[in-house]
Amino acid sequence: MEKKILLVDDDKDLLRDLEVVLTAHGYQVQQAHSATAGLRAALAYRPDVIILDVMMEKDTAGFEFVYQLRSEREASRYKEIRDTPVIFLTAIHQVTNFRFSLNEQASFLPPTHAMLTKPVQIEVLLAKLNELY
Amino acid sequence: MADPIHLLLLDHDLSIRRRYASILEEEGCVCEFALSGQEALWRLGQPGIDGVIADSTAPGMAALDLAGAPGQSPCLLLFSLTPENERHREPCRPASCLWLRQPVVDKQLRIALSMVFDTADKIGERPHLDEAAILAHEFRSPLASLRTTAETLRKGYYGELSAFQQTAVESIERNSGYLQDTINCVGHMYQLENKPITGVKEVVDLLSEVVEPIIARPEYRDNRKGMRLTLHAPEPLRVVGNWGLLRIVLKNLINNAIKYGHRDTDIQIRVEQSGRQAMMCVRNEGIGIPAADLGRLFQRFGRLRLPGSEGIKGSGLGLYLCRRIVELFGGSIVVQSEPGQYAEFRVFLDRAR
Repeated sequence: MEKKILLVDDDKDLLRDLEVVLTAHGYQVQQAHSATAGLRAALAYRPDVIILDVMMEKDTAGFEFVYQLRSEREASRYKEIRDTPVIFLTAIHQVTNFRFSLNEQASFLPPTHAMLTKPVQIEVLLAKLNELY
Repeated sequence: MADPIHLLLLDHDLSIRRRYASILEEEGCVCEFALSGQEALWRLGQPGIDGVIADSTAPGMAALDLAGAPGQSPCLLLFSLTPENERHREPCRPASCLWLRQPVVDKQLRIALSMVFDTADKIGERPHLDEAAILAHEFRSPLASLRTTAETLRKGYYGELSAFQQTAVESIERNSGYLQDTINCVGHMYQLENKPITGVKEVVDLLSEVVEPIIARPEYRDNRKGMRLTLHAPEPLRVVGNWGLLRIVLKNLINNAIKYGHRDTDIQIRVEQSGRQAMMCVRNEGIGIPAADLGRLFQRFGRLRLPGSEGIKGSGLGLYLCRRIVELFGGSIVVQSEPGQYAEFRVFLDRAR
């Protein structure tokens, strides 16, 4: 069965490219253009993987997205999709704040599957997705 | 010995206060308690409090008002149960505050403490993405998008291109790559200017933390010129440096080795001891550098116009940046070359004891 990918990024140009590439490689793709819309789409679409930008409606919207998705509260709306693999795809290069550090050892971010830097090479992204499935 | 850090713990939950206090006291802090926001505000009006730890969502609490308390600029550690209250964060932005998501484990609290009082306070770091990072992002983001579009086009996802169209798309990719390198270099330089060395110096294993992760990257391993990266490293070598900055050095050296190297040849990377120092060496077969130009190579904008390098673009900042980084750690960088044959860059760093 085709794997479902949710792309969350406010850069629609990039998402158009990624959708074309991923569809050509047999994935089913849906787009969301903000973290809020992304969380809604994740609930409705139940993707197998979420590819996520960091800076969207807020500087740290992508990070907050992961906090919400991974929330361990019993009453969390995202309880059933809490463990969906997340791949960060961001142009943030260096972050001095350690809470949102790109250095995994110093970061308090909930676990994500990968942190890829834009521009991501198509093969690198495909290889990451292949690792997952 | 430095004065102990005086912290005010504001939480209506006694067990939480006790738990944090026991960790903080182990770290040499002196803790005081406040049960309500009003009480905390009053205490902050008195001298002697260096920081506040509070739950941002406690009922009737004024933790967020603390950030704006007149005449006070305490460091804040704020715990929050929910990430939804982003709007509450806004007023805290000017303060040196740090948000931790509850439940907070001991290790997080310890790290947070050291960041706020040893690093964050002195370097002026902020708990959100700093301005430089945001500005750099504003440049990088559309450029990254442009490159992806060009790559998608070149690889035929939007349909087959003629050879002529292919060349045009490649030039978009190449030029945006050049712009991107330049922006990266400027960003890194900005960071170096603004960061005291104490904030970045650490012990790094050159092999596992710097060389191996970089040479495994597909952009280098499967580079467009079909150059092979070979690694000769007999043993792990611990040096004084910083993993992030040393990776920048190596990336620059490998990028150059690819840019100015001959197709289908080897790029040799060696990591070995050299007396009391460690040496990291990158060597390519390529157009090389004339002896007369070697001195200029590590200057700012010291890019050379070499025969054979026409059409290759560079910012002239990469090697300057390498030298700045290496010198930051008391090391040195040198080059040897035979024009038309090879170029070899050697980085020397102090070995960690």
